[in-house]
Amino acid sequence: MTHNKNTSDTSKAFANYVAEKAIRDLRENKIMSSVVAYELDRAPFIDALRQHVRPEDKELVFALIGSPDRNISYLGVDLLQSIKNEDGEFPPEGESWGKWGMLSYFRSP
Amino acid sequence: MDKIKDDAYKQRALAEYVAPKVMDDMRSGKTISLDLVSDIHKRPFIDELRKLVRPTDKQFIFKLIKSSHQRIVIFGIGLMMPIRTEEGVREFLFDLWDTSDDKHLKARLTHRLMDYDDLPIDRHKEIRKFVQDNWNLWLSQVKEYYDGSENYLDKLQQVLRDTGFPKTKLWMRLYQSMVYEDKQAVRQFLEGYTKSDAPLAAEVAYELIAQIHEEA
Repeated sequence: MTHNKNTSDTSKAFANYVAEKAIRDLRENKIMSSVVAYELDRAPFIDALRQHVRPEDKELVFALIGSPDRNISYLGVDLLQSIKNEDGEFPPEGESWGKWGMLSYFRSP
Repeated sequence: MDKIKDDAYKQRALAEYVAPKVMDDMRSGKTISLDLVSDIHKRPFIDELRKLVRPTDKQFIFKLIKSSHQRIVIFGIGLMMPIRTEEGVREFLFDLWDTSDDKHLKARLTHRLMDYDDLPIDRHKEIRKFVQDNWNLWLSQVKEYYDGSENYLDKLQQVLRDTGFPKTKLWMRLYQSMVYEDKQAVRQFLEGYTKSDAPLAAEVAYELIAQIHEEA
């Protein structure tokens, strides 16, 4: 789901800085634009974001997935792996969201 | 996936998103890492940061330029553009220009000095001589700054057509056009300025046309 193309010459430090802001904004329910979500769903931003997302962020990840904006929704799907518990399992709601997200992905052009 | 193909648009959106945090962090005295500076001291990020600079930011910007790290000093100088008319800024920039032996720093400074449209012709000549004497360094910095900018020459022409563009900056913009890879397009662009009455512009246009001819 993550875009294949790496954002050119973006350092890990910058990606981490942006990811910190993004996760803080998401936890505060701030609205994220579609184009920013699109950029954050690319390496190295998505890798940095995954480091910051915790299992307790599951509600916000579900909210992203449920967004009517596909770029925001896909970002949420790509963050699903970060909300698995210590045993590597999704929270109960996550299974269905994960399946929905993957289905949505495979149906997309 | 809703594909967004315009890279410049995406970069601009990301810059608009992150710039307020950078400014808030700097205003609150947080340290900006060297690695981060490399990413934000280029377009479009620096443009978005400059939009947010206020006169009261002079305080933290002066702290940046006292850093022991050259990259942070240069970043601080880059942020001075919007506050160039504030008390002490012009004096600082010209003192630095007159006293520094650091060519990297001075190459960056050339752009800030040219923000002043009332420079005497001797200053123009002095800055131009520096650009000529340090051509590869100066041009590589310009390239780094415009990294990823698409249609650079078209955008430059738009800037020059703007009635608000100060003629005094023209000669340096002509030198900047050399970052564009299609040198025949640059030569055609430069030919439009061989009769310019702006300071040094016609001389620079002829100089660069000759350089392109030699390199062809």
